Amino acid sequence: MTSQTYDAQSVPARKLEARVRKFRGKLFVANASLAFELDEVAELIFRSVDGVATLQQIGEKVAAEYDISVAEAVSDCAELLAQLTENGMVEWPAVSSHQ
Amino acid sequence: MMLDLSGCEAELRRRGLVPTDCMTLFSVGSVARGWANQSSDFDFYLVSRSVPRIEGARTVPVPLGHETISTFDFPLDGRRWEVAYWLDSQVDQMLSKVTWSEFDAGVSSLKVMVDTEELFLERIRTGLPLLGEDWLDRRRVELADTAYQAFLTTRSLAEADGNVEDALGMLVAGDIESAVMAARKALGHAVDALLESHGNYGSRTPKWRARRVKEAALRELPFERYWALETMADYDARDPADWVRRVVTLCKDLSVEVEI
Repeated sequence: MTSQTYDAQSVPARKLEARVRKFRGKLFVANASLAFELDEVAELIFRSVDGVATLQQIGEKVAAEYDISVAEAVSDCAELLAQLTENGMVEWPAVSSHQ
Repeated sequence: MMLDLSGCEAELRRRGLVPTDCMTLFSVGSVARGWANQSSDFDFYLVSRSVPRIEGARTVPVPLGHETISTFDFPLDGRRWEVAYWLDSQVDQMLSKVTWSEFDAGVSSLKVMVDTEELFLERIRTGLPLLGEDWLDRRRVELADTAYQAFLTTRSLAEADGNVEDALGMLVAGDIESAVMAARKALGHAVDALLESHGNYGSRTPKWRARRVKEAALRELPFERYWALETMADYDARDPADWVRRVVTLCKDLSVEVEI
């Protein structure tokens, strides 16, 4: 299994192979075999993943929107993005992979 | 360019092309949308209760209870006129194919209707009535309650995704020219999906896409940006792969904005 190490200054990007659908107000992200339904916070995080913003900056955006600490928001973002990364929906282009 | 339609009904009647049980007659296509030019056809849809008898008409197959529609065309003053004859019962059947229950049941957006049917339903929305405006108004309301828009949007998104995947695979394989072609196709479908999600239909007639983008004034894709991509204004022949990646990334970004 491949694992990646990234930190708050790492920049995530949406994988171009992932399929996205907005249906009845909900955002769904899918790979070939699995779809995630994103809640409101997860949608904000996913939309903020643009290949430019760092994990820290995305966390700051979420913290400002939901009035929580930046540290907590960055942690929440990292958790969601790790899950999406694991399922091939997000990547970290500048981060090295380790076998 | 708006053309004067005031004498059209009388001309069609004079030629015996309006049956007595006609429920509506409306102008469709570029003329109805205000996009016509000097050589544009006059296209009309006519809906009646019973099968009309129009001498010299051609038949077109449709996958409906009554399995054909009739069309009749003639030249007049250097312009081609065509009337397509539909039955009211056929319209009922087309609307019943695109209900939300069919959509939720997973009926394929690629197979739900043929192009002839899709075009008819699209044109209900944009047609200009010459007769039976109330019929058209009622059908517009019925169409708005169906999943027609969701079917079209889903199909365009799927086609965009498929072409994005092709383009990426071609890049990996070093087939750059094919990747550029696939990226162009992906862009067209992604833009169609966005337009369809705003109720602006017409993906089966891509020559009008620029007109549609301009007309829709999309917040997510201003016309100038769309037109630069469509005309490959920033394509650099020294690095085609960069252009492909930027276009397919935009396609994916647009798909986040498309509400089904």
